[in-house]
Amino acid sequence: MPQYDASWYKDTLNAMHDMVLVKGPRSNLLWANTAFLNYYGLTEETLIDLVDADHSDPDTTLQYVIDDQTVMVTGQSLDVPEEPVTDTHGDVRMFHTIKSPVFADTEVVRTVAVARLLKDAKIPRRSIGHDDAKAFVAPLQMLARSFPNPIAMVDVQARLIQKSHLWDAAFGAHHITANSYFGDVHPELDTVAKEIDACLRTRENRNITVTHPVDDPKGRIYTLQISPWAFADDVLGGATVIATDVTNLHEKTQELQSANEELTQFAYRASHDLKGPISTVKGLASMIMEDIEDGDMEDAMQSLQQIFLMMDRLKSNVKSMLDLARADLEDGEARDVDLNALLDEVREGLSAYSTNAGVAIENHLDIQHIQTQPVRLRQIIENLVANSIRYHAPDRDEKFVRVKSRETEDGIAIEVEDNGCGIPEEAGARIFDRFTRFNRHSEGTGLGLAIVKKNVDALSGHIDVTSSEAGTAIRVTVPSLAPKEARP
Amino acid sequence: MTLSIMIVDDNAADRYLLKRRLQKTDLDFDVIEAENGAAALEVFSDYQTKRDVDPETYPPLFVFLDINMPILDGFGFLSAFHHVSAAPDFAPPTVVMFTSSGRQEDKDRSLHWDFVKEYIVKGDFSSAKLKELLQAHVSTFEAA
Repeated sequence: MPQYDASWYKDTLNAMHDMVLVKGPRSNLLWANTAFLNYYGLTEETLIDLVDADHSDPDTTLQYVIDDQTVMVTGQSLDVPEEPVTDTHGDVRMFHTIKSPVFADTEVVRTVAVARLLKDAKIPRRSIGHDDAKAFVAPLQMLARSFPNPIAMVDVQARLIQKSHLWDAAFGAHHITANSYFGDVHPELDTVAKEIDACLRTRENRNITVTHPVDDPKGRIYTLQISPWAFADDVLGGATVIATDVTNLHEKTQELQSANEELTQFAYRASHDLKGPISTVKGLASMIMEDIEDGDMEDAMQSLQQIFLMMDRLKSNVKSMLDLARADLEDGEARDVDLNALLDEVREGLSAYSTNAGVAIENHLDIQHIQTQPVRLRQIIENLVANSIRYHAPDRDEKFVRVKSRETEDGIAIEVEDNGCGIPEEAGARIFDRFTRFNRHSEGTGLGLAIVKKNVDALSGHIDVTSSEAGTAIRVTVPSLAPKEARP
Repeated sequence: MTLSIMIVDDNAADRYLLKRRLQKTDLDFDVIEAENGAAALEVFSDYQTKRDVDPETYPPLFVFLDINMPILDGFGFLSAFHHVSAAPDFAPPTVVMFTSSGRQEDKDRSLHWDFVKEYIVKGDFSSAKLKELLQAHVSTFEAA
């Protein structure tokens, strides 16, 4: 009959291929068999009271402690079908572990675990708990800290291990925690966490675009390039996330897109406004030929008169389009503009038109000088006055357009007031759109107010419109660099 | 029979031209003019009363419709007219697009409505063609 003493039991446990470890109530190691000591690089002496070895992954350590406590509290065995265990070289393998309580009377005083290797294959990823790994990663972390882009480095468990100063500036300076940085600190960057997981799984680069803060329309837009990084022996160590601020690029792209849309629309409508009168003239010309063949000279003359009208319209359409194009390009210096002289020129240019319509253009200027871009101001006043003449109320005895100016807090206000037929209420803000005409008397090009608005915007001014059946007043307020008093 | 024809166009010269062409066809016709889509829709309001008052020329058999017009353009008219023409007892006129736009998109967008039967680009048109077009559609009216 052999002696079943302590060494007899120890020898038996040390002969086992499975790892056996005994832990106290605080998860502190009390004893482990040779299989465990070899795997962990410990001795019976050095293991005493350790919770876990330094090389272990803090996350898995945390999980071990939780599992131990479960066994301590419930007094039940716990079967962990699969858990990662890091060896003394920092390599990770999967084990099947069963933890059981050891009772003294009715109280659980320690636990005993048996862990069996599932497959003798290193998982091709390495946590940075181990000293060698730490030494490898440290310079990378240093480099990341001062990287000229916002950059974040994560380990194989997607935990943040470093971020650059610029990253903090972009996404906020948060303390690095053992938990998932993207999921917990930045729940809004959840998509980033998903992409990092995908990158770590596939070892492939991922690219995503995020806005930060997420729901802020004024948030910055970043493209994030997520790439795997590896140790010298090509074992996956984690991923880097490099952010590039593309907000300005994005804005420029949008500007270009909207400019392009505007151009397309302009080209279509411009071609229509040029083609319309040409088609009509072509039709009238063929009509005239038929009239002449029929000897019908009176009708031919009438058609010819229509042709002249269409030609005038075509000319005015072309002028408006050129004005609008010039309003885009004009970047003249602000100069002293004599409003009296400017209004005289405008009157002169529109005299045939105003006389024909029986509309008087009246000078009610209180301020005569303004520092601004003369070409733009001229286009503004010219188009407003022309509109007032165009949309006069034919039934009124006295038809007028009054051009006024006065000084306001925002600059010089120039008002063009008429007693014309008014702007229909349903027109609303659309009156400033290109090619929008709201009046039945529709010989306008629909460009007038678009030209006015473009110029006012360029001068950083604003437009106020009041309109009723009694007439319309459009007030344009533009800043004047150095408004001068009226000349004596 | 008298052909009742509505011309919807903001350009007086185009309306004039179309009327002259109609005269050259030697057909007996009556013209209603509208300067934009909204004015054209007005013509179809109070439909039954107008028809009872003037059954000879109302409703128009043809609508010549421009696209680019102020207030309500040709497309706006077509989609509103779709609702008007769904009323019971309504005899929808033949709508002929009469525009300077030769763009295929505009053509497709117009012909998408079943009451739009023709699409004419303004420059490419003669009195003879107009007569042919009117007679073709009149014969279908008479057959019905």
